[in-house]
Amino acid sequence: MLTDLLLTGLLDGARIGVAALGFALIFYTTKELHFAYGAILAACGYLYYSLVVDQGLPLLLAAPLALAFGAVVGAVIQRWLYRRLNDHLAVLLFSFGMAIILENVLHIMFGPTDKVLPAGALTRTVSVAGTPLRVIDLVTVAVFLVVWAGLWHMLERQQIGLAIRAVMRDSTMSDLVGIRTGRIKVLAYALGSAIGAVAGLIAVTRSGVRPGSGFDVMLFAFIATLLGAGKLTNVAAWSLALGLFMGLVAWPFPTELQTLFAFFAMLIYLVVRSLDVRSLRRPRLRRAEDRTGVSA
Amino acid sequence: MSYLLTLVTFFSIGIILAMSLNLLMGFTGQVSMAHGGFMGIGAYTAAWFAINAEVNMVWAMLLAAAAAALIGWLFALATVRISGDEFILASFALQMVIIEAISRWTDVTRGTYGLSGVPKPELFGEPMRTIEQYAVFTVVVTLICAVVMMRMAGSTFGLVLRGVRESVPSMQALGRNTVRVKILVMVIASAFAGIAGTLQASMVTFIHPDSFTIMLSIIIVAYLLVGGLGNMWGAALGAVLLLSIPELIATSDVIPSNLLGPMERVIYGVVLMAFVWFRPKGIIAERPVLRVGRMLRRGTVTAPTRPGSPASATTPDAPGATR
Repeated sequence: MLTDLLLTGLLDGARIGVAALGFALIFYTTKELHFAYGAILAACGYLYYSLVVDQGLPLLLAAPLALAFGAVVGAVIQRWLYRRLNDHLAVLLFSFGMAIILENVLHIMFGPTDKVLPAGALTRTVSVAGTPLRVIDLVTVAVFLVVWAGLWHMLERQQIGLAIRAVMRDSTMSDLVGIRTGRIKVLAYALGSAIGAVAGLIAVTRSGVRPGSGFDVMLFAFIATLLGAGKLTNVAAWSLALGLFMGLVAWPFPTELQTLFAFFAMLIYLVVRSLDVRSLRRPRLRRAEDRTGVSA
Repeated sequence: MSYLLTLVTFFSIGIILAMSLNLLMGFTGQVSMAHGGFMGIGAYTAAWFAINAEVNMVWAMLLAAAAAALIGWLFALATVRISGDEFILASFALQMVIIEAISRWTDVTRGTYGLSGVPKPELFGEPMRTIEQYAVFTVVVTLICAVVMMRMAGSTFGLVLRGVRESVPSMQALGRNTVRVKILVMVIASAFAGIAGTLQASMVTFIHPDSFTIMLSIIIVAYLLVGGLGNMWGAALGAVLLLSIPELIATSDVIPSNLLGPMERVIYGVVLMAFVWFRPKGIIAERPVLRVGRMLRRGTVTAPTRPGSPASATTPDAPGATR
């Protein structure tokens, strides 16, 4: 029972992780709360569904198209809309407006019910070391690891990654040393939205998408991003931890309480972080610094 | 006629919501995404007491305001050191916690079945039966709330709130307890949201967790953006304008009825985006405080009593200017 829950939690964590990495890449680079992320994620899922079911494209051909769609939408939103707003609160509210529109347009076009991709091979159950697992879940874990490793490689081992990390640290300073921050931000949006589209494809294949499911997926991505505190590796780790946490919560409590606990944890985290516990713990050191006039 | 009265009732509820969030968001600069949640707390508290303890809705309204204020107080205490973007995140999390708690605490709230049969208030020992009586009751309650909130906005308290928005350190330098002010405004705003929730519960007689989701919270924020942040008349105007949208598209007969809900939300989204893009200050922008001297003479604003401290009332002389 417990191992089952932990396994489910881990798989949930991997699914949260894919969406969270994309969201975090965007948030850390631009510091903008891009709430339309979830709706675009769902839109990509719907596009994939309609390409495969209505147009009859093969799965592997439709997937890159859906990802490209996500990337282009993300880039356009950053370049032509958010850059002009140039204000965090304005971006937040504007993206909320976009999310509402997109979600309801999807509702009008596809109806309120779940659309599940008829992908026979991917939804089959296979037995791995005696445990029945769905192929799509294994694929999800693989995709999650690939995205994680790919982002790590790009950020830590490549020139462009250095630029992105510089913008994450301090956008104005990066601008001053000659990094083209505008392009980096557009790149972050394109890449992040494409990763979000991957999450959308996984959702439509695994359990289907509703117009509102993008928002639901994003909520957990959001918590993991917040907990990650600026590092994408942390975001991936926190996503898994969040999945496990929710699996464990499901052990003594009914599963419906998972969301409640997750958001309560987020609230507690924000409050505890704001208290700045570390500064309370070291009053002596501070006084010594004050005497010598050296600031920390 | 009864249709018109129903509209008036919903407009009144919207006005209370917009004005109370305005105190918090427009004046103090604390952008809250949990206002719909506080309304839900109020609606559920009042409905529970009215149904299970047969409390008159008039008194249940006070209980609702107290319950919402209590949660607001706890939240404000916890988030005293959080401001700006982080406060938005915290209030967002609170909204999710409130709505999840309401949906899952089935013993009290009956979860996703909703609570039905919320009674109308009783006045002078007589329960209200007609929509006319209830509309008059709602308008009177709204007028009282609006006058109280507008008095607050135009008083020293309102000036201090704006001062906190512009610069916490300068308000502290002027000897104001900014922590207490922030907590107080959160408590006041949530209490009024609780009252609005009660009015809503009595009006529709059926309450459901889906009525108080993050969508509602965003829509209340949109009232302010459309009408004008930091302006009480603007807040009221925004609420009335946005609440008329669904009525206008419902009467136009162009859209099939099963798509009315989504269509309505699409239009909300468009309006929200358009105002953020073209007129972020709203229809009636916030007015700078230029006439402090007259306010002082009339007595709506009091000069600080502590000897030696400069006139705190004159600090935010042009609050809109620095935004």
